[in-house]
Amino acid sequence: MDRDLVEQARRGDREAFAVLVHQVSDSLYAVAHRILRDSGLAEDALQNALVLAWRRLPHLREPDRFEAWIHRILVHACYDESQRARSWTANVRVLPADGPTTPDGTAAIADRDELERAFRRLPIDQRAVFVLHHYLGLPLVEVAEMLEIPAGTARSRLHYATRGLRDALAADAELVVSGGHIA
Amino acid sequence: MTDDRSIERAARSWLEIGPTAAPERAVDAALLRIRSTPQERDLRIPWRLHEMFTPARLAAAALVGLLAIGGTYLLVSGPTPSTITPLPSPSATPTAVPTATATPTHSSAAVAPTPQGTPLPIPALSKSFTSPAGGYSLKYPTDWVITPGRGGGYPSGPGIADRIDGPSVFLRAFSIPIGASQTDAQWLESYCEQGIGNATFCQDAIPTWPAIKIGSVTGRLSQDDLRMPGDPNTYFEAAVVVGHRGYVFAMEGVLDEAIFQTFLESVRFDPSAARDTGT
Repeated sequence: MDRDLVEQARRGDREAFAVLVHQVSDSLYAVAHRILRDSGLAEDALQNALVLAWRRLPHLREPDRFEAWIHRILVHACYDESQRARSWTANVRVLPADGPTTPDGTAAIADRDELERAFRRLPIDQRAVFVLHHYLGLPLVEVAEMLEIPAGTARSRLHYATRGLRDALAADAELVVSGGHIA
Repeated sequence: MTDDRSIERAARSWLEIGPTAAPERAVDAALLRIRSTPQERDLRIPWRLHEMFTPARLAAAALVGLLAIGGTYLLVSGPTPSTITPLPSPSATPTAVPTATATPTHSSAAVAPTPQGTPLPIPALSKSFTSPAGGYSLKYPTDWVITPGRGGGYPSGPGIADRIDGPSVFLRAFSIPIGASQTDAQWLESYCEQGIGNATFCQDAIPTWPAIKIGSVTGRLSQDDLRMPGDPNTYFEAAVVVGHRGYVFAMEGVLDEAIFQTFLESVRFDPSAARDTGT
């Protein structure tokens, strides 16, 4: 990331900020999409994050940390979008996948749809840590730093996200094996 | 059923699927909005140490840790200090964070180092404190304030751990009995999993924890200079098993490893004197 561009943008240079936006927007959108699992919500989160970043840029103390800083803003924008979306998704219940599976769930693990459903059941803050760690490849200490949460909390969120996925996958597998249906 | 590793592997592959480029319309729309959006004026006052230590922040951090069963044990184990006056301290100049890796590592691998060339003065440990419940004693500076814990279990609430407050730094310590069928190594794993990370993380992390002298025995440094960039406060935590009890010592605030080590060296263990009645 070009420090001079960040400095220029901090001083109100919109052109400089536009260059920065083009440098980071792909990564921001990719992260938002993976957290929110929805193109429309991810676009809204991206837009809101970029506008908020522009407004708050003069407060950025460390220009070298611009990328981490704007990812933090994006994650918070994702929280907001998730909150907004909750009202109409609250009553949506997922259905178990059709098709063959095995009692030990091995086949389910490989099933993209099952992962999608399991991931959507996770709280948004756990999804964020999971995506930053497993998609961006950030160590948990950096995730914690990015989100301004204690490192232990980041570890906990990742732990519970993984456990949540495991439990959801197991529940799905059991449901299908036993012939049950979710109402 | 599947284990965490296979889930993580599958999830990583699954996360790779999906868009990697932002839609132009979204970027253009944002830039259009920015054209008519003024920036905020920077009215923030410079960062101050006591902001880190306000009771509200520490209480909030403790609550989050408690609810998430995350973080380290000792941040949730007692009341917070009302005010902490900064010591003559190292520079608050932000320090660099080492390059990222995707592998879970010991926490010291990804935190900023203690400010180099400016070792903090090591306080004189002239008074002795014997834990009423923890089965240990240690030395501390004359003007530090003791708040004995009631002991008796994991510090999942206030007042379990002993606490010693100094200017800009505090120490917490507790001990718990190890289960009859539990080995020392198993306790260390459970200690890690309950306070620091999940089983996968701990499996990788524990072998990397450096040895550290605690009294006359050797423990493990589980949290080594856990510092965020630009923050003069840091966190150290060490654990050891003595007499089939697990002991945990932690310090947070403006300190460095030499100070933590000095306190640890003053520790004397007496597992038979421990009382487990707190929880």
